[in-house]
Amino acid sequence: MATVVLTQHLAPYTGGQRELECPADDVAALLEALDREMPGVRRYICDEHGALRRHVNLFIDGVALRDRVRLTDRLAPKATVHVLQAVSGG
Amino acid sequence: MRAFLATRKGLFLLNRRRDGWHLDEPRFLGVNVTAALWDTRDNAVWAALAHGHWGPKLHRSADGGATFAETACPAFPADTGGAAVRRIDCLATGHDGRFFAGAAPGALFESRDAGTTWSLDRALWQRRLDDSWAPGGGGLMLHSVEPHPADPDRWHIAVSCGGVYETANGGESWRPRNRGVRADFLPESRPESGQDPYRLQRHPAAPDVLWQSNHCGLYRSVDGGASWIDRSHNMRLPFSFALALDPADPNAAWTAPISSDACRVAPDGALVVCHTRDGGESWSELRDGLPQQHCYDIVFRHALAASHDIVLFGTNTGSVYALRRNTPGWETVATHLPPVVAVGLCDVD
Repeated sequence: MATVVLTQHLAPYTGGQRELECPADDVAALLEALDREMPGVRRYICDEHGALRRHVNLFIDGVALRDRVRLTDRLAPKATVHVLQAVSGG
Repeated sequence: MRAFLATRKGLFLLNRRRDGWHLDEPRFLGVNVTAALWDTRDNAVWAALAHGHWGPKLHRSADGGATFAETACPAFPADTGGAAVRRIDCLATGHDGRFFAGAAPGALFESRDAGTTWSLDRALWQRRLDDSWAPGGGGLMLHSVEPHPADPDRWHIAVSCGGVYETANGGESWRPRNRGVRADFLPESRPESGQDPYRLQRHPAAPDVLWQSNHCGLYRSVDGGASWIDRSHNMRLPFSFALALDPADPNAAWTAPISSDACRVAPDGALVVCHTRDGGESWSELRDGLPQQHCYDIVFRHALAASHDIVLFGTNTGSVYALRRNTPGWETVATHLPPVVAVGLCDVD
């Protein structure tokens, strides 16, 4: 079970919810599970093809995501994933 | 009379009452509103947002702007090589409940169910590739969609830099409509496509009359875009982004001049709007009430609008001015707003 923690800047689009535990082996599955619980939030994080948006950063246990296009990075059983806004986005 | 101001930091609604203009509290404060639309068919207000981090979004209000709800946003299909919508640059209504969204990079999307689902115009997307459109300073902007009022399958679009295109079969095929329009920034001055229109508008009562502000002039067509004549030769100030037509007169239009393409500030440090009543043969300068010293404001391409009663524009420094038709001077509506991207007028009270 991985835990995803969203930046507070996403709270207006999730009804205020920022943290969720999800059963997922990789980041793509994690965001799919997240979107089931918070419908529509994935399109804030990813573009229409599922790639991480240019000015969004995602960290797995403190390490930046490597595959920003297909989100295939693996998750340890108790991983914590932070979704943050990149400073480059303004 | 109501109006909207789409700005870099939110959507503002204006109401004109007997005692003057009133500005409502902003919607989407802090968010870049790149386009808006007042659909007079059902009093819906649409707002296109471009979040710095979270991408483009589309919101709709069913109650004239009191409350908004997010709707589906146009998106590229999976087989378009990873192209992604970066920004919605214009919204328009068509026949039979159609909606259009022009989106960067150079794509046209259509919805037939009030924005619940959107489809890419694939024929135009292919023209983008075949004709080698090139982005201008604002990206590859598809900024104008002008449906024909009597023919549900005919509409024009304008892209910066791609030129003006027309479909006569509901978007199944497109042809360039740029004859007579210069492209001084290309090796060939008058190519079939690749021009840099800034704003395209069709006259609502004379649908074969089209106007376009352009990087290389100000053009008018009287044959549905088949040919264009540069009407800027008689203008002392021929360079402008913004353009508005008079709904009562296809010979009348307003522009908001800028010094030049290389120096994008108000000409001579003074804000001015130019007006023609004779199809661009002659132009008058409307300055009364506008700042005439040390003013360097410009008016973006969608930030000038006209109705039967009012001409309204907003500047890149957040000032908004209105002219009641047949009165001599401009009235200051607001100052110190965020940069105004687009304005729209609605006759509904």
